[in-house]
Amino acid sequence: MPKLFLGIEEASVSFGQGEARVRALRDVSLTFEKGTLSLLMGPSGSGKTTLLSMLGCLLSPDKGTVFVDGEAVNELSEAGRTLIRQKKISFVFQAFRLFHSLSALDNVALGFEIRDAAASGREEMARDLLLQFGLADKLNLEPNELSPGEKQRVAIARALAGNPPILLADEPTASLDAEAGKNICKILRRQVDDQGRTVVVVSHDPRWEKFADRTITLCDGRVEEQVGVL
Amino acid sequence: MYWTIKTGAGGAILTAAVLGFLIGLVVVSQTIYANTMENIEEYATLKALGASQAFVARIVLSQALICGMIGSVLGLLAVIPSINYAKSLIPWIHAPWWLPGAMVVPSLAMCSLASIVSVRSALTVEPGRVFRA
Repeated sequence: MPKLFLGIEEASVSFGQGEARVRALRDVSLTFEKGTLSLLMGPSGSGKTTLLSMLGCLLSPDKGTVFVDGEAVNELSEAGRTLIRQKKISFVFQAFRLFHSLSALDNVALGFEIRDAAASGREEMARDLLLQFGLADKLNLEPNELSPGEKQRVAIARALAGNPPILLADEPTASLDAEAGKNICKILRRQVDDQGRTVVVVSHDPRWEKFADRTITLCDGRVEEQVGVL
Repeated sequence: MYWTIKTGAGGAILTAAVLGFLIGLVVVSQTIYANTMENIEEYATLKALGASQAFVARIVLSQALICGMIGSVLGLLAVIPSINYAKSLIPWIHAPWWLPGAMVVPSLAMCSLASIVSVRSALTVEPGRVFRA
């Protein structure tokens, strides 16, 4: 049986105890093939973000297994999971989460530094990435001087620093207007088509459906529906 | 040396120095801790992006040392003229030229010590909070 590139097997997660206990995921099994864009949809509280946290090695399931690049990661130590994130996974957030005191260029250069502190030419690589995203004239601006769409492009550039094969995005277009949101959809789609990355997007935004290879709908911690290939 | 060892002046000065160190430690510690907690979400982001514990600790420690260096420079700017003025009034005061500069070392040690609580807070922040609004 081939190893899962990215996925979970029979994973369950609960939060709280006693009567306040909430089962965020219930025996969910999902696989995400290399070089695909998967969209996770569902109502609030359906387990989308919990699933993304598990795939990103930020949360371990109470039961079941999480695979990243063929390796079962939920039994790894915190340092081991950090190393997996450092080498293989990156994130794009709804609230951008840029470092507010750093310029756009320094934000992206920091992404390179986290992934490979010994790498030389971090600033040049960061500049190249920002140029690819049409931010040539914004390199030295701090996040509060950028529009939401520009902030998200900087955040994506930071996420791509170090060339991680997996990109996990949590509501990446929720804070953006229609045009900027569409641009972000195209950028992440290009990461799949041109770079062969595996992208998982959590979103309520129906525009994502036409950019995704597969749409997975979660409800009450279970997979309700899967549409698309795989 | 006579005043330092044979009279109570030495003990008083030493006590003042130790108190100054301890008060400095508390003040710097509080300042760095407040700064760390203000930016705790950024530390969570760093950890989520794969920053190692050593990387995070280095950032907090660097901030403490930068604060220490700035404080030391400001201190030296105030102390050197004060020493010169005191010497002009009391010529037998012994204050070697290197002494103010040498005080930078314990000041930086104090800042490093003061950053321990902040380093611990930054290291224990849960990276999973990056997905919370």
